[in-house]
Amino acid sequence: MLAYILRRLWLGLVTVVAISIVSFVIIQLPPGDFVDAYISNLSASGSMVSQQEAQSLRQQYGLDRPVWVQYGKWMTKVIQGDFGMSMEWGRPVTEVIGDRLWLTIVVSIAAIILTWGIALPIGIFSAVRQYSIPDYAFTFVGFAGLAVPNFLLALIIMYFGFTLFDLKIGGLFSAEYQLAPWSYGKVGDLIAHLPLPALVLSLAGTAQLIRIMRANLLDELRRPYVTTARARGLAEWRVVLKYPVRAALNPFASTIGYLLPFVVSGSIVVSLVLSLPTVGPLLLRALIAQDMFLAGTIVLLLGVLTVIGTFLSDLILMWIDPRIRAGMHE
Amino acid sequence: MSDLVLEVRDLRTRFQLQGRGVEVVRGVDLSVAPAEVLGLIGESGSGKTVTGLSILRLLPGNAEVSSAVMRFKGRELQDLDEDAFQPLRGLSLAMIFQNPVGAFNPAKRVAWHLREIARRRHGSEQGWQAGARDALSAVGIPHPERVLRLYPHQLSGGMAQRILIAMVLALEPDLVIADEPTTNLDNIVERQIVALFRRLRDRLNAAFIFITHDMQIAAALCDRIAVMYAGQIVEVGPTRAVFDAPRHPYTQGLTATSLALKQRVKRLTEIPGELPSLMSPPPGCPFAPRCAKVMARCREEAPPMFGTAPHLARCFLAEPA
Repeated sequence: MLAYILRRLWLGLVTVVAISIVSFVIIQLPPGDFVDAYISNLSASGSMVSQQEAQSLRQQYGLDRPVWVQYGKWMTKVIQGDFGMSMEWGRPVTEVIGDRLWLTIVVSIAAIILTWGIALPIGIFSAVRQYSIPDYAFTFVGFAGLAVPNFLLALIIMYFGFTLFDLKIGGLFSAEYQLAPWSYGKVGDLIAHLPLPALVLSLAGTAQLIRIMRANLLDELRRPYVTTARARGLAEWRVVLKYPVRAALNPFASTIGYLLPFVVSGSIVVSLVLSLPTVGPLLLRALIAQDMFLAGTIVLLLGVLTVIGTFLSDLILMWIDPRIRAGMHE
Repeated sequence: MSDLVLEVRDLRTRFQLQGRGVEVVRGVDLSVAPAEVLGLIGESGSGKTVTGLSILRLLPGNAEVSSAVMRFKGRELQDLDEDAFQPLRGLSLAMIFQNPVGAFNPAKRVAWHLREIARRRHGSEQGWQAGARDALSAVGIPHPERVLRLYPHQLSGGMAQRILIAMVLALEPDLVIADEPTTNLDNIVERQIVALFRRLRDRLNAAFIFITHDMQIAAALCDRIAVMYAGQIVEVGPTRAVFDAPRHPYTQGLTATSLALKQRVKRLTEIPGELPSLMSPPPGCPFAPRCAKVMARCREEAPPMFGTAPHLARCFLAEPA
């Protein structure tokens, strides 16, 4: 068991290194570098940058060195906890990202909880009452949820949330807390703002998970152990909840790892619409400006979080399914 | 006749498949007395399992079950709704299935299953360990404590089937329907399980319906035999009589085949052809297309049961002259 966990951790570390290389290469791929983007930005507003100035800027950021040297220098610093300077913002990357990373995680977790909270009971209901009218209704709503673009849903929900329920819409904080240091009031404000983005972000995933849960449970309900449990005279709800639901839970656990990058990258537009201070919009801006240390750091952090998330899913899977635990010994 | 454990008359089970009704069990009569073992034999697809599942009402929603009589210990079960019927399952009417390993909840240890049995039997888990140990010892499991800690996938087929039998018997049912409980087991284990059933039969007062396609097992275990073909019982009688003097050509074919297997004959006399499609059952006797002794009459008229109790056969050849 312990050996397995250690092995998984080691593999995770290897994956993280691979991610760092790939993310660095990808950021280098587009033609030009930050200085080019900076110059074209400046010339658009009328000022000129001389060849010499550009050269000294490149030297300052080390952009004239070979790629692998740049990567090596970056990684040495990263290991020491220094993610470099954001070229665009002129401030350390850690400072620019700041709370955004934690807020992203908070929003993601809220979305996961909401996804499960909605998908689990509906999925069970749809499987147990297959082809009933509510099952068809949920199927319809589910597919609609998958098909409607999230940002459109965000706009609609914002409108109704504001007009009908007087919800706090837009952003994660009220104006008075925006720049205030952390306090209980700010946390409370965050919680009050959370339902709406969590709902919007969870809907597509919810629709998907309802389908998965329904299909899995239908499979499990046909298994011999279900009939055996019925033949023992157990109550129907007990038969369903204690046996097949448990087995159908695996896909829920295994989605944890993928949800975080999904919330970050799949929801940039939603984050812009809802003006959420998450890393999604920041990453988009950094990529446009070719702000390589900022973009690289964000991609790296997301990679690390995904690896951690996958590791957590594996642990949870091990916990809910003894067959996985047994497989490790072989 | 009121001392019978189960009496079934004219049991019919239809499935709705793609808008069409298919009758899979077509008028089955069965009865079992306390401590009696009734063998229900026949080839795959003859409706043996569906008969068992129909009695316990374990069929999916697209099945319709009807019967003229479904009397359990003198009590008519047909009028009971699901809420009233459910408590009878396990405690009064029980079933043992094929695929023993798959009959366990894959995520839970053996102990969890036995705790559930204790709760079902006594309404609480208190003192379940003692009951579990006794139940497992009774079916010949050497180290109950160790076995309780295992997960289902760590059990061998024979071990799993023993535990399932132990769990069924711990509920002390009056009728146990065992549906090919040895089918997926290897030969040696199969014999052990059959031996276990023999011991249990002699010790318990429960009635057994033992579903199998294996004539030798049926001969070794059962007091009476009912031979099923295409959803009907074609011959029923005491085991000796059915095996020594089979009256229905189908039974004759079955016994000849198993005898040939036992004597290691080079060429097997098989029954030619296959089961008729129940989507459109042929008129007359369903066995007529495969029967070596078929008469013109058999193709037009379905034979009723002939003979004198306890040995009956659904064949014109058994008709008293």
